[in-house]
Amino acid sequence: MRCRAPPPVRSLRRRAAGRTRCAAVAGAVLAGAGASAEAASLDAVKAGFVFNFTKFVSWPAREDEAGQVRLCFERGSISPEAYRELDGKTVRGTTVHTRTVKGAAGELGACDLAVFAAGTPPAASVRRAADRNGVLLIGNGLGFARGGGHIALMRRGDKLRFRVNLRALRRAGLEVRSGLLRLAEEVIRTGDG
Amino acid sequence: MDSCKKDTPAAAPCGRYRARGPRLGATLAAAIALAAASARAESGDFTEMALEDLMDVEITALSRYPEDVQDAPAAVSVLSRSDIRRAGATTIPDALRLVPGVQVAQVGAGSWAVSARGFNAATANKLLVMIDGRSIYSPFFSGTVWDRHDLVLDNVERIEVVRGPGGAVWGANAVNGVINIITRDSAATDGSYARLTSGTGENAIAELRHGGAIGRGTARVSAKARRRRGGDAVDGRPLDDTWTMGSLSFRADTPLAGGELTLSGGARRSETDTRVDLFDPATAGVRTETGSNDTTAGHLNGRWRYRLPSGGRVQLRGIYDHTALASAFGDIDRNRLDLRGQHRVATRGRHSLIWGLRFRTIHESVGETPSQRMRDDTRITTRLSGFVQDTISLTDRLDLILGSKLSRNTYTGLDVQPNARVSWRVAPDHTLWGSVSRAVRTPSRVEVDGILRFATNATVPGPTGAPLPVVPVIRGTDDVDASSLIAYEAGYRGRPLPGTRLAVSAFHNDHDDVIGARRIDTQVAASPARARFVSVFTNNLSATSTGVEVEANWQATERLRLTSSYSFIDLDVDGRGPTGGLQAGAIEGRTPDHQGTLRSHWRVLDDLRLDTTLRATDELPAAGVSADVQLDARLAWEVAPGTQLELTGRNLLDAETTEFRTVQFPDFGGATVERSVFASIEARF
Repeated sequence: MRCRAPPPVRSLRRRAAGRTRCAAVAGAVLAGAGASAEAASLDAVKAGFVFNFTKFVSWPAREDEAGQVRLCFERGSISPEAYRELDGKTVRGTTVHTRTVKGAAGELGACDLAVFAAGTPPAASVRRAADRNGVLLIGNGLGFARGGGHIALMRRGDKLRFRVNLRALRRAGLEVRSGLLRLAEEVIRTGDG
Repeated sequence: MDSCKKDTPAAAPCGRYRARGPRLGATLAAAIALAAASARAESGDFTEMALEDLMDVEITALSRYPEDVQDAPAAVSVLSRSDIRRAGATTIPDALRLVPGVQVAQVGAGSWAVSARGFNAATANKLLVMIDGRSIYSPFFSGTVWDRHDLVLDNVERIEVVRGPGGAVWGANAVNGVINIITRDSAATDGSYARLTSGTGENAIAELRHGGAIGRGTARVSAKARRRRGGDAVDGRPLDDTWTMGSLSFRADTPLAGGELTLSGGARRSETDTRVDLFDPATAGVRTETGSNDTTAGHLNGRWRYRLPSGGRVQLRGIYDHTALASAFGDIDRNRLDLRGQHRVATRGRHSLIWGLRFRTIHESVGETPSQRMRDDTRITTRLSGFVQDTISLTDRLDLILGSKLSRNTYTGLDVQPNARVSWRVAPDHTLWGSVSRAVRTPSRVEVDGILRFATNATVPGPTGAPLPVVPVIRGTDDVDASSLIAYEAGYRGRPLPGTRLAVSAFHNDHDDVIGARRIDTQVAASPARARFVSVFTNNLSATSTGVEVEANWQATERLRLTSSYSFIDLDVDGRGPTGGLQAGAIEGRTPDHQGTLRSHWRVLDDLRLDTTLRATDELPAAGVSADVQLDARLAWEVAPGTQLELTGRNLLDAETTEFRTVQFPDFGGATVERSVFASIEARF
């Protein structure tokens, strides 16, 4: 059951009133209480992180493929059901396009962002391809970030955190807004990249 | 919430306004509807969440996730920046109240008694406290003086609390636990920040910060000033207890020589008013003096990390700090230098080895007063230590960690602190761990070098029948040995039910050679006539403690999270000698058997949060403190992107409470804690 969201409204009182109406409609379903915890699946949240990263990173201007931001997901990184939710969303006027890749360096020419499955540092060929083509490399674990990946997701307790390898990211010609660094658990400035 | 700052791309939906799904309102009826909202939190919705909110989501089935922050086989609690903010804490000790097994009692506007697993006192000395690896305890009496370490709390990334001996990696004196306050990378604090707080109790706090790029790295500068009024004296006498402090600090992070350098430092001045009963040399009785403890301190902390071609990592750290304290008990001037290095060897087969060396030297001068003097005014103490720790992957689910620390110090020579730990991932969502460790607490300077004279109103009949004032005198001696502890711990960490998280730890500690005082002589002295009851510091106490600590949280709905903590401890202290029993009773009776907290975090609207904390502490019979329940609440409203208004109430249930009474030297007063309500405005720009 869904309620249409009221338009963004600054006044707290008017917003609360709109939502109360919505709340009254949705009111009876108590049984759903446990469902939210179940539904917070890892892949869904990771997809949320990846989409947010696209909002904070800027790519060098490109003549071809204008109007699109191409997200590539290595098989096994995030489930297609989760990342297909991103298809068609807009980021700064460009449209998101998602696809599955095998993770080889050769495929990166057709990607703006690549999400890797394993926690190992990206291979040298992958890093070179990323530098050449301006591809944002996202992976798992500290080893990924310290080994030249750009953004690594990792676990802290039951929540996800991320670390940014600023040097590697800039070497690929990318820029990241300070808002992302503010939330990063660690910002790495050295290491391979 | 930072996600809606000006640097968010304009066309992208600002995280607060979502295109789909109901946004439920603040009315109470909506609480039921919250459940309904959560029912449709299917996978798609997370792609619309702002980053800051995503970081708050507790994920099920995360254990199979490749793990980098290893689950430590120890009783660890982590307070995140958000935990500290939402508890309405304005000081570190206030934030530490949320951690099970940690006893926090406020004794003055700027003074706290903080300990873990028992033995609390204003000079609690079995807990190692560090800020970014810099130890902040005072080696004079081996305790932490909190007022001089007040930080801009928004600069804190997290506080890690390890209950139990962390002996193998950190310094000695981590007998009952280690608290490490970790500050944020300067890249995370760029831009400007200002926060003003004012109210009853918290008269005024002003925090300012500015950060940005510098060379190839980033840096920030922070300033903080505060003034806080305390309550009345616990004995009912009027007390003008005020704490004022000002500080300036910086942090810079930059690549250097192929590695990364982090340099931080600061200078501060803190004054807490005191009213103390001092020994009066003219009458051999009591003289009450109102004055203040004035601290001027500064420090520099540099860390350089480097990744070796082989894959290993090296870290070098150098810390210098200077503290000058002027107080009614005497003046202390101290300089401390701490140099250390550690090498994390690249994993070879099943072994991950880390080893390190540390050198520390302290130059300390203490000015004499009628209440105390040291055998030598100035003393230089050094400690050299090394540690090694190997994490062995016995199977892909079972880790064995063996480690030991060896140290040599000026007071007691050689100490060995070995430990063994096991971590077993029984099932994807459940981990069991166990450990045995030995930890050591070296004597403080007072216990070795000091000669203390106390003030009492007691008298005894003298040889002529006339009453003589009693003057207790305690002396330190070179015979004082380090006290030691063998700790047996075990615990469970995991997710017993969907949406919940549980961590349980149990411990049994055997404390040996705990330092107390033993009466050796009674003398009659003249001018003025008095009876001196002379004692020496000696290792005449021993103790065992057994306890359990529990932390649980439950993501009840998408917008409501409940967190609770509980700890139980049974502390049994034994004392040898004529006054041993009394001292033992005094220590036991200052440790509460039970403690608990219950917190709720409710995101009422996208920009409105309500957080409440209910805290319960058992009685402290030896301190005349009864069991108490307290309530803190905080309402935070983001009026505009980057600007937030907050209203916080602390200790709401009682106008005034007494949390502790100290009878030890030095007596930091003993004031009540009052109900306080304050408002804050915070802006990032």
